[in-house]
Amino acid sequence: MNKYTYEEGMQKLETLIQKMESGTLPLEESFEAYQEAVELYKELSQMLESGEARILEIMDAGDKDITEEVT
Amino acid sequence: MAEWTLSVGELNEYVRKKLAGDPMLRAVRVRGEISGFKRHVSGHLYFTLKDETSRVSCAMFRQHAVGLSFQPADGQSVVVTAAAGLYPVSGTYQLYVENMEKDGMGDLFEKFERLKKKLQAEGLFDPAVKKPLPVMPKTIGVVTSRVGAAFRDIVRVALHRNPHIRILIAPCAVQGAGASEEIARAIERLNADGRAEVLLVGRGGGSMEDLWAFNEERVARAVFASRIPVISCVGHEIDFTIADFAADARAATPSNAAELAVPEIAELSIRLKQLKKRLDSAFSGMVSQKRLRLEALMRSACITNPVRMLIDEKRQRADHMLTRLNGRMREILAKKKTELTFLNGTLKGLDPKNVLNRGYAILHKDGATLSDAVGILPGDRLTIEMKNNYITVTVEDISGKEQP
Repeated sequence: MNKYTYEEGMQKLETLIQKMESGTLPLEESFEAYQEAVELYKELSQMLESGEARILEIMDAGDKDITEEVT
Repeated sequence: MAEWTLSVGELNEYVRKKLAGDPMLRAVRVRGEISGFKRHVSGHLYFTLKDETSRVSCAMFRQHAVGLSFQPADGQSVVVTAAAGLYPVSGTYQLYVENMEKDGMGDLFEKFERLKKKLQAEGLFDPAVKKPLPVMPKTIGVVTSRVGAAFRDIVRVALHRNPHIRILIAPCAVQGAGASEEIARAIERLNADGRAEVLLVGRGGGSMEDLWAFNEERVARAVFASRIPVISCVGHEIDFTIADFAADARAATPSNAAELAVPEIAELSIRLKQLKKRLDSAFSGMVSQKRLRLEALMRSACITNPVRMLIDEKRQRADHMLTRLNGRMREILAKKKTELTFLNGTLKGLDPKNVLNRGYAILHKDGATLSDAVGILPGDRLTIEMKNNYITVTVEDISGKEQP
């Protein structure tokens, strides 16, 4: 489970890039921002591609996997 | 007073015209109970409408009767829209019915408006309390009939847009007695489960009575109380229900709701890659800008700054940073250098002069190197090049070589 949602990640990435584009960051921080942004990009790409399609019936008695029946 | 004598036919025709000319009687709404209902083989319907004290004959012709949403029967209370006219054959007047609905629909409309006003006053429809939909849900919850077309449509659209999506269905009846309670409980069940990031609540199209469960207060309150954002999708574009007002977003149909809830992965992927490009160009722009500034700083610090300590410190820092920046450059250069050395070795192996070291010789004629005897005649002068010497010889004989 990720510590942030996809939209939070996207927002963070956008902010980091804007900071870098502004050109006001000290060198050390720029490197850090870049590294963080690259890491974030990798995680977000992974979020898009991960997971297997599942269709579950939610009953009071519990879940029942009905992926095969429906697709 | 003139003495007029009319035939029966003339009288009826006169009365028929009188009735037909009355604007109110051309389209009148009448409430009553059906009795003596008959369906003729032609498809026309004949019946009597009655109340406690009166009755009137009615005819509903086939072209209107086919549009009926229910099966009329004796004892039903209905409201008809009809034109009143005389039936000259019997001399009685009757209603030519164009539309008929079950009585009580009017009550439904009233109920709808009353509940809508009440919940509105309570703030259930307040735009300020509507929750935003998640941008990229991994799990969606569906509250609808397990067997209806709505569920199949949602699954199809959602999987098409995101092949990794997880769909939770909390099955419930969507019409009939008890449906509103089931819908509300299904919403609560998905909230208790907690995995779904957005709920799709609805059903396919139907009559106002079919959709009625979504106009019940119980459903509106469950939608409002849901911690998970709710998209309502009841019936078609034109159908509005109380649930639609209470939901965080309204979709015209279940398919539309799936489109609204589930973003296309391909599209998100493109947007993410665009961001990566911006990141890379921001980085290279930043590096060259820093380098320029450092170089400028070094120059100015060395020459103009009178405070020695400050100069030294800045210079040291500048040196340090420049070293860091150049480190990577040097790595690349070193790598290229190794590649070049290797390439050089390969080239050397191809040099023909190397062959001479291994005891082979090269034949020249008139300064050109020979690779076969074409054009060589006995008596020609050739030069043999060896490792350390040249030997000049005269050709005596030329013969072919057996092919191996």
